[in-house]
Amino acid sequence: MKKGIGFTLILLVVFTLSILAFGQKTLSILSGEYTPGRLIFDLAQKDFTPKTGIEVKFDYVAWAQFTDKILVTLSAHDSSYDLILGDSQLLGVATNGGHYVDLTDWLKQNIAFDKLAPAPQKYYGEYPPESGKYYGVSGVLDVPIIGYRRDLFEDPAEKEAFKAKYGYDLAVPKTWDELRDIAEFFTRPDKNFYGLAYWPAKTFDAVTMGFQPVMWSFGADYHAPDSFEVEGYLNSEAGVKALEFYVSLMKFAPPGSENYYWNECIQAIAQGLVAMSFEWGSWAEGMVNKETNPQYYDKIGFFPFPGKIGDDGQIRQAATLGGQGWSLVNYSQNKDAAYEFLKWWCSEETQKKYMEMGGIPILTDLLNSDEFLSAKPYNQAFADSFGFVRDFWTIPEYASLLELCQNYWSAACVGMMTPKEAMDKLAQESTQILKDAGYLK
Amino acid sequence: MDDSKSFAYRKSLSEYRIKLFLIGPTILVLILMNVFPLFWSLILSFTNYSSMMTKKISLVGVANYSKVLNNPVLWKYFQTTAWFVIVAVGLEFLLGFSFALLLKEKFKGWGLVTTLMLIPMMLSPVVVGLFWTFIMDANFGLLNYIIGLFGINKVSWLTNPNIALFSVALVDVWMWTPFVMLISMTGLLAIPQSLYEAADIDMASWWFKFRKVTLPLVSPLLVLAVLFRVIDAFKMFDLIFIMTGGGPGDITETISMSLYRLAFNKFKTGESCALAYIILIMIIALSNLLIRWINRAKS
Repeated sequence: MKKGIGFTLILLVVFTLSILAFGQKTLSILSGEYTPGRLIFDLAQKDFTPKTGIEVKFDYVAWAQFTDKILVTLSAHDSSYDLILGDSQLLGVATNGGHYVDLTDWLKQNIAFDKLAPAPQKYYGEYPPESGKYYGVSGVLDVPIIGYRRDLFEDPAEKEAFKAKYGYDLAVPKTWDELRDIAEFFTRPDKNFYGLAYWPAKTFDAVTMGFQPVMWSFGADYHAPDSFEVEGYLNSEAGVKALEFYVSLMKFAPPGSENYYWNECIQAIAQGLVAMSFEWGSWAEGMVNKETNPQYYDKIGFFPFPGKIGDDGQIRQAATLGGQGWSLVNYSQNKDAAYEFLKWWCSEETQKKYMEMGGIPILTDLLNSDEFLSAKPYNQAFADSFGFVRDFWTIPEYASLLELCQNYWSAACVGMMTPKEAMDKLAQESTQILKDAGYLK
Repeated sequence: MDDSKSFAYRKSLSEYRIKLFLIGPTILVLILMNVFPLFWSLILSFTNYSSMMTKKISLVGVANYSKVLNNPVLWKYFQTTAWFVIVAVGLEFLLGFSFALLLKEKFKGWGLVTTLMLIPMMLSPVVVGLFWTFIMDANFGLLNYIIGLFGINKVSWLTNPNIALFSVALVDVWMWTPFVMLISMTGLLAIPQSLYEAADIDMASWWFKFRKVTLPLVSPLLVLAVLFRVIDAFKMFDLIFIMTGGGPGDITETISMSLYRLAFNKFKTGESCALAYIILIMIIALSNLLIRWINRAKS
């Protein structure tokens, strides 16, 4: 009997050790909680694991804690995650701290680098900007677009009334002025219906992500083209006018919508409260899905952020970069598996499969293919927006600069200060942060 | 040493060892989890350390404390926090004690009513914050629907700069009034009935009994409830983080929100440790004032 127990115990120990010694490798990935993250996990399980024998584990983090989770993990030199599907804003702080692996040479030797859509790859991977050094690879591509009620825009009576009032046809707006007119036209408080749901909120990075494309298209910028000089650029006449315009749109937004971001905007359009609504491309499915928008799911169209006509008569458009790139954590114990995953992810075969599942491909050819453009009602607007996408600060001080933008721009949206005061204070305090960090003298 | 003495010595030694064996792990955990971080963060508060960056750590003396104390924005956030504490704890005290007085006398269904009233304080603050955000939504919210039935216009509960802080305070009141009520009720139910009977014989009025019997006997517990709530409200973070994110502008930015941003968004670890110590000192000072009040009330 005793011999039997002893034998069983030895077998158990040998079995456990063999699992530990020869068991499959597991790649651990940190991602935000969203549909693209789930799609990539499904695809990896179906395709990557059978091909390589490497298991993939995703840890999905709620967006409210997403950035904190990444930063705390990196600052603790934690090896729990091999790959991070993180924001471009973190590139500066993560690379300066030595937390991300330099992928420059590896990318050029192991993947068809030239096939990657250039603008996203530049913003998701390159740090410092224009340095040619890459710490990330395009992962989940995203830009904000605008969803609109196609049924209203195509309604003959509405079209006629619009033309009578504004002198031109009701159509998808190409400029911010046209968007303003359309928003004004559809604002009917007596019917509890409004022109536009947009992003003036203090929460997360809402107001900054919503306002910066307007600011860029009006001709202002966060700093001078060749230096970090902020004064006179951010609070230039164009910058102030841009904020005045953005604040003026509040008149056509539902009352109390000063705390709206992506989730609230989907609700607003699903409840039949607005004619147009800002939305991140990766969340736009919520507007056309019958389950989340049962009343209007088949009546929604999309267009890219409009522009402003410049002195040269050309329309100047801009879009905020959203989405996330893959970065390899320096403390990973599983770097070979991570490289294997990145190679798999960047392959045309994987990207085609991802696109068929509803994902946004990272390769130029696929991003411009008819197959992609016609797959979802928002894909055309999405692809167009990547032609003029731009990004927020990515230097390590981005969090301090973002906090200032959020404070002052949301304060302007609720009327706590004038747009001029907000821009001047923002420029003054941003300058101080950049001086303290040594970017300015 | 004779045998009996040696036996007693061995016995006491073994009892001492058993005590040490039982208490030791707890002491060790306390040192590792509480005492060490406390001293370590104190040391960090005198350095330029940033947990995200690899730059060399150097001592900066009291520069971090000076930076924090000379930052007018942080003082503004201290003021916001003070307003929040005054409004929230003030209302919780008034309502909690009033409910306790009402529930002092038992009636049919007393147990059910008391249990139902205690539910809010048992919920997670994040869940409370989320569902109150929906309730207070200007367009789809239940609160505006209800006041709309009385012909009152929609209120932008969380986005109007004049009322956003009070809206969050209102949610805190909803959540924590039951806590004050519970402690007050414990105090009220512990007052000997004979004192009221004696007062009744002397034909004392309700107000006289309340002033001379109820209030003096229940006040140590009331102050204790206020002490707990002041400490907790001073640290207010979760409700504001979920409901307003500190906005609009920075109108609902409390000092804990600011500390969080300094430590985990900007990763100014040394500076955030200094701010944490300043907050700690303030809370200890406030607590001491209230504890003295409790002792005076007891005596």
